[in-house]
Amino acid sequence: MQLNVTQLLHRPWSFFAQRCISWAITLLAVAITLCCVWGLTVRFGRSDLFTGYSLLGVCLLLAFLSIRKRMLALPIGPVKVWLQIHLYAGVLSLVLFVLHVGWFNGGWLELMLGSLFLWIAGTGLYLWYLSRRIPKRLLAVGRDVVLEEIPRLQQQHAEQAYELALKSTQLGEGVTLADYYQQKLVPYFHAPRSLFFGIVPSIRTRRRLLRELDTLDRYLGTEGRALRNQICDLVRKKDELDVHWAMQNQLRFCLTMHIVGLWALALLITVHVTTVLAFVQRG
Amino acid sequence: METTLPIRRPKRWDKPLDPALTQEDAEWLLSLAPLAYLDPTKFPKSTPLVEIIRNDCRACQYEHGDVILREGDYGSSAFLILRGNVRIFVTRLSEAQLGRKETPRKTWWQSLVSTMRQQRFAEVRNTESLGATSSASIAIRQPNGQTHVFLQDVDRLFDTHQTNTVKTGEIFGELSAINRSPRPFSVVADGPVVLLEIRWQGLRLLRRDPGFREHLDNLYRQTSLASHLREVNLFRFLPEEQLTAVAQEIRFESYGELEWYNEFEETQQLDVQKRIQRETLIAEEGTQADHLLLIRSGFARLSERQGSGHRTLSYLGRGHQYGLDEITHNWKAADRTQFLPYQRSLRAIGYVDVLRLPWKVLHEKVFPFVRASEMPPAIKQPRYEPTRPIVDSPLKSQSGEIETGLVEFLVDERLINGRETMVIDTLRCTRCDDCVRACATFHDGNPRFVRQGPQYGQWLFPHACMHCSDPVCMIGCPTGAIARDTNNGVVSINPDTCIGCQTCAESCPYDNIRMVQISDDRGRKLVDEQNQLPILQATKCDLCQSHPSGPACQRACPHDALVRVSVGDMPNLVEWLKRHAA
Repeated sequence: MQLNVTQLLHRPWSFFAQRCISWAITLLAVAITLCCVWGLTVRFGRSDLFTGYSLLGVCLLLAFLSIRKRMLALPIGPVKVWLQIHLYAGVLSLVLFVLHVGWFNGGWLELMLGSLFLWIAGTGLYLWYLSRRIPKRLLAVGRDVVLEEIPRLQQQHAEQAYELALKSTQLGEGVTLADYYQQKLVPYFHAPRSLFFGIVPSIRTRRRLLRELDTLDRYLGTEGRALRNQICDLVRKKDELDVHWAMQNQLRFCLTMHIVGLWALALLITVHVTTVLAFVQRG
Repeated sequence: METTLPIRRPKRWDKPLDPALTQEDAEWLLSLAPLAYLDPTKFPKSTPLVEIIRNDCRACQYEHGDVILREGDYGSSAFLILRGNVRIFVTRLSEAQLGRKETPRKTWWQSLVSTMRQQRFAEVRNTESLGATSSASIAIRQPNGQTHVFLQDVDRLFDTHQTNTVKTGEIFGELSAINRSPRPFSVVADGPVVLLEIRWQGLRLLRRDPGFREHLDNLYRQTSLASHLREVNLFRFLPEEQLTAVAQEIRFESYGELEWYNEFEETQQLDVQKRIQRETLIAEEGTQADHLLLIRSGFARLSERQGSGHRTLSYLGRGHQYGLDEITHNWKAADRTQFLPYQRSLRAIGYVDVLRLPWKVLHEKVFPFVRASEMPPAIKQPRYEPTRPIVDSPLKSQSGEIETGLVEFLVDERLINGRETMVIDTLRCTRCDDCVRACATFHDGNPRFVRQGPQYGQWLFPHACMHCSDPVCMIGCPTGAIARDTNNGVVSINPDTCIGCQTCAESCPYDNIRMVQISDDRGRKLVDEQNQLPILQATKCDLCQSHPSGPACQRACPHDALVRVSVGDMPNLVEWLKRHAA
């Protein structure tokens, strides 16, 4: 079979193959860096300058993703390619950081710089993890919702639940459902969920409410049960919206933290490099 | 409390094309030259000839220079000249002369500058160019509430372009109306002219008259049949003489509803089995495989019986064929007395135009010229055989390389119509909305799609224009503002000629066109000077065709979750789906 190189290059690689190639290139880059550092160390060269400049270069490459996203018209490949470069260059930067800093023994500027770098690396790695986890979690939740739509839908569900609770009082079956709504469902439908839910969204509250609503059956007539079913449906829908809200905001919050850190790091790197250059030139 | 409300059952022709047209008018029209040749006895009592004329026709008046048909537009009517002459432009009029805006492609630098310079207000329009059209050569007039576009310097254009004159009693535009194909030429009124517009429903009924049908079929045979047949692999290398003989044997047929989009939402509400039952059956599995069917336009569902329902195996579009496997099998078979019947059923999705070719013609005039390697293989395990009872086939969750449920979904939602459908893999999409932001950046601060839409499993099909194979949005645009680029197939809206009539937005069965309020560069909302009502314009995805980078949404997606793909092109779609499902 004739191998068509052009076809091979333009063929979309499988995600697994992409990952393997990316890791292979990253490991190769790490190996070359380690060899260079070892070579410089045994020859009594300035390996700290080598790792420092390399780290600076990689940091500039990492920062380019942000610029790429803002300048979409630039003919330099789609954002997905730049994100892959960003991810694996990020791994390389961590290795370079360890080689450059070693066991931490600098002053306050270096301490701030190092902490900020680790903060950005940490949020970056967490974002990487979130970008894999969130889609699966949201797909499992069910219907897809746009973040901006969520408050409106939450409000709509809350109003519907209120109307159902009100309607239950007119059935002549007592006020069991309305009471329960007043005690347990008003905070659920109207108040924001806890911070803990925002970080680790779970269906525990939903399960509890549905279980409690189930137990109300013995106090309700046929029509009351029909209303209870509708309320249960709203509880489920509201929980789905809350999960969407929490997960989507989590990603946005982490991204903001990552980018804010980036600007601060850029400032500190400028100060650090200027200082280092000044001392290097003085010999 | 009563739960039902008796009403009179809606009937055909409840809404005539022109309510003002009387019985007497219809009879007078039937006394005029070409219509007078129609034989009323050929029409059934339920749809008599005079009623067809009364309900499916209307008289229209055009002034000198009025554009009646624009090349490249889609329409559903043919025109019979009652009085006056029209000119058909044999040489093409430029896009600007037709009132279309040629989208200039920006350079990389211009694209970068325009996307970096954010508009302070969304949907800003140049108030001077609005309604004034993009070219000085055309203008708009609105006699009797109808919108007509006219050429300003029409006499000069008649002199400088090659034109054919069509006179009283002649018909034009009938092929595009029946086939739903783009108009092949522009037609302009040469002096005051009175036309009889016949909508496609009426045209189809008029085909019952053998003379009229033959006239239309001959027109198609003469103009485009040969080139259409050459597009099919089977006939590609057939000698000219054989091809002509084959063309003579071909029968033209149409199935389904050309205006399927009117009932689309209603059909969606039906039970799955009822939905399939509603579709017009073209050929049924188990019946004699006596014809090869070539799809000329539209889409058809290929299915087989499964339990008490039907399982969709695939969908066929323009250029695809049905029945070739069975006819080839029968040709290769030693025993020519036991012919294999059709193994699958074919149903019209919306509307389908087919070319029907008898098996004998294939056996005698086509197969001897086709290489054995290019013939489909014999059917190894036929489901229907003349001597064996029919056994229900085992349920398969996969149809070829694609999940059966997804095929059913694509057909039911009519997503197969899409040439540039946006598909999002929600197992990779983090809902970061970078695609929406990118779209807004490339379109003056307002995204041209909504990241919501029909979803099957992990595959989301957002409400973004699909640049359909059958662009129903283009039918009825009074100014031709919505048009398809003949070079790349992109359907776009010219903001200079869009009058905000909403015809396109209401026609789009996928809700992919949105009406937006426009403003000037100072952010003031534009309103009608007469009634102070807001001026709206239709907006939709234009695939960022003015930018060299292509669709911004796809380019901006960091997680490789979004693609623009032709759903009609099954192999391409399958490749993408397989890569993401792995």
